[in-house]
Amino acid sequence: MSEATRVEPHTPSPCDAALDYVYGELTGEALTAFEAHMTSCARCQAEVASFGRVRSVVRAALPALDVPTASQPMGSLHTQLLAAAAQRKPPAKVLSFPSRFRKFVTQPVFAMAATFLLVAGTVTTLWKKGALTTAKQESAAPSTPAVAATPKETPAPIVALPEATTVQPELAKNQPAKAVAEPPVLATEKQHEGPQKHYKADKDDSLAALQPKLEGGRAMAPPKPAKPALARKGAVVGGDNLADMVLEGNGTSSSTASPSTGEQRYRARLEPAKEESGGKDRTVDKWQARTDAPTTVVKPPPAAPAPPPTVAEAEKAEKKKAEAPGYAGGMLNRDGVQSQSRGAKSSEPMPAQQQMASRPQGSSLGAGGGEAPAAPRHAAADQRGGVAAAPMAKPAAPQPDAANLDGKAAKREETAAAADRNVADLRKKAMDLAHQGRCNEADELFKKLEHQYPMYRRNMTETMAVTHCRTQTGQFDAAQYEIDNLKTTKTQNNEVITREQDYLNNERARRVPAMPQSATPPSAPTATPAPAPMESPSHNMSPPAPMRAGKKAKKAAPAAASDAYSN
Amino acid sequence: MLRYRDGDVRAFEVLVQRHRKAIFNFVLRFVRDTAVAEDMMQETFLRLVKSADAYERQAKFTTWLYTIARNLCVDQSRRQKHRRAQSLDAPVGDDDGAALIEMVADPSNMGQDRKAISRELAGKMQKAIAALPDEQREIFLLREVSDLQFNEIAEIVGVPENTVKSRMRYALEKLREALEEYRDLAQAAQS
Repeated sequence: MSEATRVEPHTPSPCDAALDYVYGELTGEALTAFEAHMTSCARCQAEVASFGRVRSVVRAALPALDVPTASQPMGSLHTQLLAAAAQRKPPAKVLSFPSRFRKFVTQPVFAMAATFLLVAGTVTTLWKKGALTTAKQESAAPSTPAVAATPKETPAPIVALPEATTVQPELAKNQPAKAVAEPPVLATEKQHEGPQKHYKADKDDSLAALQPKLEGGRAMAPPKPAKPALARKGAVVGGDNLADMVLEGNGTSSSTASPSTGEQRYRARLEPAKEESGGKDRTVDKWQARTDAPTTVVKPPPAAPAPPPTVAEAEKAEKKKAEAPGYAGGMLNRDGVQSQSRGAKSSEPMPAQQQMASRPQGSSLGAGGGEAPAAPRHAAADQRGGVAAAPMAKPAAPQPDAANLDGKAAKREETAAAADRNVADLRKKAMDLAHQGRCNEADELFKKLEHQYPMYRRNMTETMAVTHCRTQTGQFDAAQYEIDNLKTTKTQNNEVITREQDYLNNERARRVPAMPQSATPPSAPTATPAPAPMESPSHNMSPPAPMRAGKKAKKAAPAAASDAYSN
Repeated sequence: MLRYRDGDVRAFEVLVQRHRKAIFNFVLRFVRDTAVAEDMMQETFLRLVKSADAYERQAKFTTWLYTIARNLCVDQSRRQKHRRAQSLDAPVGDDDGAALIEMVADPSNMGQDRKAISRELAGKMQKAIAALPDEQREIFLLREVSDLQFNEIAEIVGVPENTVKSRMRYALEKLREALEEYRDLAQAAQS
């Protein structure tokens, strides 16, 4: 092509506008300037003339042709074209942002901010749902194998328990860093709460899904709900906690030779279940039993299990224990109140080790006399330090780990201690009133105690004091009612009851003849060595005494029944 | 076109009626085949239908329409590079078998001699146009047949405006040289 070889004019020349002039594209000053230039430029004049001739010939040679018939408005091609145009679907209307907003939205900064918000929202949502917690637990997973390996270090009898429960104390000892990271709690609390966390993580799993984990040595928790109060109590008194279960399953003869009522009833319930299960793994059965009765101590069968006692045997043992000399049946001290509280939550009797722990120090049975099992006495110590069969002089003494109680546990402890102090004060005051012969006031205080502390029951000393007071003040019916209760429940030595009954009879015989003579209180009870009665004789002779006795009878029956288990 | 993009089919019909003749003449002068030109015109408007959603009012609609038609012409020209060009004496469309040269001159305004001269001159002129290179011919046709300005042609073809003018100048010079051979004939036709 020739135009490719020619050099394009770089500097605009007036002659370059000749083409524009021919085609009429020059306007204004450009047109004027070119016309002025063309008058003096022969070349431009010749070029314009030649181009004009060519154009005229071309116009004559290339007339505008009409389109063919097919493309006419009624033609086939035209129809097809319009049909194709009609088939096109208009686009869906899209709301268009204002140009200013669109400019803002399309900024990279806006995209980055939107991305950040999206990621942050996602992370927050996952965090709230707990999905990230799972990741956190998975990150701590390397510590789990070490825990799983610990069962080999535990004593052999522990195998009878769920492995998770036996492993936890070792876990607490072998992981000091974790103990620092978590709030300081008692070892028993860790024992309860640690598995509980695991259980929460896997709470959706079925029992069958959890069983392999238990058997595999993983620290799995039983489905028993966490009860911090119980855990604390277990730590203090060495009663119902997992460490006790471990120790009692540790082949101690006392545990097997002298089972407590709780053990007996547990076995009575567990053995049929085992038989029904076809002798499969006992761990699972026990675990299921714990599921059914969360407050019941899951006591594993010993290595050489004794024949399971029946319920009748358990009740017989209970009666023998109640008849033992010095047995303070029904005399519930502070610990007894707590034990009774637990017993009230569940229909199951309180386990023997807890009964032992709940007895006041210095009790006649505290030194291992009678049929009380000795193993639970060192349960708490063994649980913490793993020292087996260490004698525990003070079972109710606070544990060294109590210093590590968190705020909540400490608060609970303080509340319980304050309640105990109040109970002790009221009891002391009531006893003083009874000794002074102010039986009504003493009764009121005892009622107040029972009202404010529902699990409180008068112990034997208090009952005897009230009975003696009522006898002295002439409330013979009320005194007789108390003595009858003592005889019914058989919670007191027959000799003591007989002595009190004789005293009542003597007083009644001495005073009854004089009663009809005066309806007013005796002005000078010279014959009575006891202090003057504070109550009016009319009150003594009035029917309210049997009514009161009836009211008390309603309370006494369940109280006596519960005392039989709680002592 | 905006109305048709928004769904008004009647607007498209108006567009077809307004531009079909110019498109058909441009394509016909380019491909020199009436049937092919008609098909290409049809294809041009069909592509307009297909591309209606993407239409943005960034340029003149005519420019966009001629760009489509020109691209189709270039493709067609490449396909028929080695084919024999249709003779100008061949019948054009359905117009009673009349030759293209006969359509150039208006018989009603000429005498028999002038008719003959005009036919001969138109034939010579069309041969000269057909002999132009494609890049010059398309610019020449867009300028003379479609009556587009140089800047619009530059946008359609995709070259600078000065290049368009240069190519136009070369095309006119070639046609002038062709007319020199028939100067007398041309003068007779003009007179």
